[in-house]
Amino acid sequence: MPGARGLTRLLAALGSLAIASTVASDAAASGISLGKFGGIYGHANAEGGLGLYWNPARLSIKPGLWGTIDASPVHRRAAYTREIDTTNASRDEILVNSGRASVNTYAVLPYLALGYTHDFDSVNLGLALGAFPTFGGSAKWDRNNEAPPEFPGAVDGPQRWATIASILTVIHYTAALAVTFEDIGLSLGATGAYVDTTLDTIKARNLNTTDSLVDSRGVIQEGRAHFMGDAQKLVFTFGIAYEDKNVKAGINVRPKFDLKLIGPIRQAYATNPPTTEEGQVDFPLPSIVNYAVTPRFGKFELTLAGEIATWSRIKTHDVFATDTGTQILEIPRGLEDTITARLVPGWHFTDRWLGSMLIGGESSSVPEATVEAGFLDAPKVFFGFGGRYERKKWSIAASWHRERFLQVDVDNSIVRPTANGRYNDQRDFFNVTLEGRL
Amino acid sequence: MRFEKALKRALAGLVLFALACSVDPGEKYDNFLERADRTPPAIADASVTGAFVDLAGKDFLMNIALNPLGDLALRLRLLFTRFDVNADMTEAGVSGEFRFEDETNDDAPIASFDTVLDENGRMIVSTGVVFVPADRSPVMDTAVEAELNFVLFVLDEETLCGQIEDDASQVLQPITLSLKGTTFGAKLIGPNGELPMTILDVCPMEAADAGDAG
Repeated sequence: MPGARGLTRLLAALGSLAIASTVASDAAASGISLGKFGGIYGHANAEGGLGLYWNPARLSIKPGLWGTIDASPVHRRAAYTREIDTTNASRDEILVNSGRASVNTYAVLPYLALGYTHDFDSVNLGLALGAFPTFGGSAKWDRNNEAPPEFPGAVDGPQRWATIASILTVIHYTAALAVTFEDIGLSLGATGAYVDTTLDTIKARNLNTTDSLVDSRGVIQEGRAHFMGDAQKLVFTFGIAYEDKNVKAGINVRPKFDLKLIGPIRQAYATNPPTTEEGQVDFPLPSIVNYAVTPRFGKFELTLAGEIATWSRIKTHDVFATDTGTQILEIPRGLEDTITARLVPGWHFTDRWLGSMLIGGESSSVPEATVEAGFLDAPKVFFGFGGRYERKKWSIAASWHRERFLQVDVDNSIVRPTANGRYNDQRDFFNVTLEGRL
Repeated sequence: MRFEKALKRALAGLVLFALACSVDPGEKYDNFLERADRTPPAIADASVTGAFVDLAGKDFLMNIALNPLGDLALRLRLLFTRFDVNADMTEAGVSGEFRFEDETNDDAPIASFDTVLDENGRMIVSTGVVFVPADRSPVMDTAVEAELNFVLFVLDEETLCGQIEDDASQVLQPITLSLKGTTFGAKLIGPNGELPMTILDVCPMEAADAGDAG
């Protein structure tokens, strides 16, 4: 199956460049959810092939053979100004361990879907296949080239105790089945997905979890921990949709699932010879419920969409030795559930043209006490605009929206060494969705 | 594996017209190992002249500097339970027990040993495999299993010191880490259990060397 393998690699590559900060020491938080497909039109009432992710019940509403390509170029700008007040490091060490670090990333989120819906008179039956990343991100923080050579680790920036570079991809290879009862406007759908997850991450770390770079003899203290693991899993989602001339409504449920990422963890501490062990990170992902309702009043429509995600099931992202189960790294999280609300007013200029705006907001999944540069989330606001042009055989939608994270000032970090300081993050999502239909 | 990673990135690079910056955490790890001088300091020549003194019943507090792991310290009580001198008065059979700093001699020892003290006041004290629970571990919140072979010198009736010189001394769990280069000092605990205030974590060899030179 060289063709399939090639596609797998291509999708993995594209997915690995998906935006959103993470580390892997770090895992998924709301800020790294990649549910951006369709841009401002991505919600539980999404049209066409976007339903494979947003609501499979909608896949069988229109009969025919169809294909959807969606791409979201993303630009992320984030900064962390580390503020430390510690007695366990020298003045010089504190100087190079504090200050501003930044990341500036471009990436593309890919989405492919293909399907066929057959009209059995009053009942439509649809099948679909597709692939897309649902969580993840990559980030490589800027280097600090001013760092003094006597502290060789400091070139990786003051944020390095949380993250230096990381790639997380959670790619879904998805099949869907949907049925629409045309007489009553009701649709039901479900997906099954083979989820392939990889995590590749590095952070600075000392065994005593301090900022100390060298000991009193000038011997290096700073170390590194690098984990590269993967996991696979079968997961399912369910959706229900209703549509008539004046209103659309939909709910999509993604039950929680747990991943056990297993792979080598390489560690080098102080002057000890580097070690490689088989490590395991328990990587739970939340249940997510998406909902949307879109009433239409003549040329005007208004979509109220939202999401509830049960991130609170994630207490830690500790790393364990695979063979003995003993803890290697302790990474507290204590995440909180999130609520997202989006308002998308739209105007149908003609039967083919729709113009829309987005405003919305989302709560933070990461409490201030466990925020770190590689695992950042914050209350955020959304705004953007876009348009859709639709013909009988094809359609195109394009949009831009910005996710503006509210500034987070942390002075109560429980992360060791401390992750106190100021965090800023902003993500611009451009989106184009092309759909063909026969 | 490297080829597969390279292929993935090349494909992504083509699609994204090189917009995406390359991210390779593994390469970052390798680069750090290349640019950082992680050479351990040479182990000091343990030419300490020790004393041949009766240790029976003496209880010491050890201050162990786990230098190869970074700036980590472990404190253990060391109680000598036997001191049998041979007929030539050239060596003594010694037994002892290790406990955590906050334990008393009524608590079960975490390790015990039998060894021989030579006429130069030197002995090898091996703990065997010891388990240090997370709340007592020098590695924050992480239980460790370790094996330590101390080269121990008796400086006088109240002071011990030494280091670890062998490759078998290691942290065994959760990961394997060498303890070669660890140093320690120990002071006698007072008759009423008073813990010594200051304990060196290294033999006073430099001072001795300076004295010789003068």
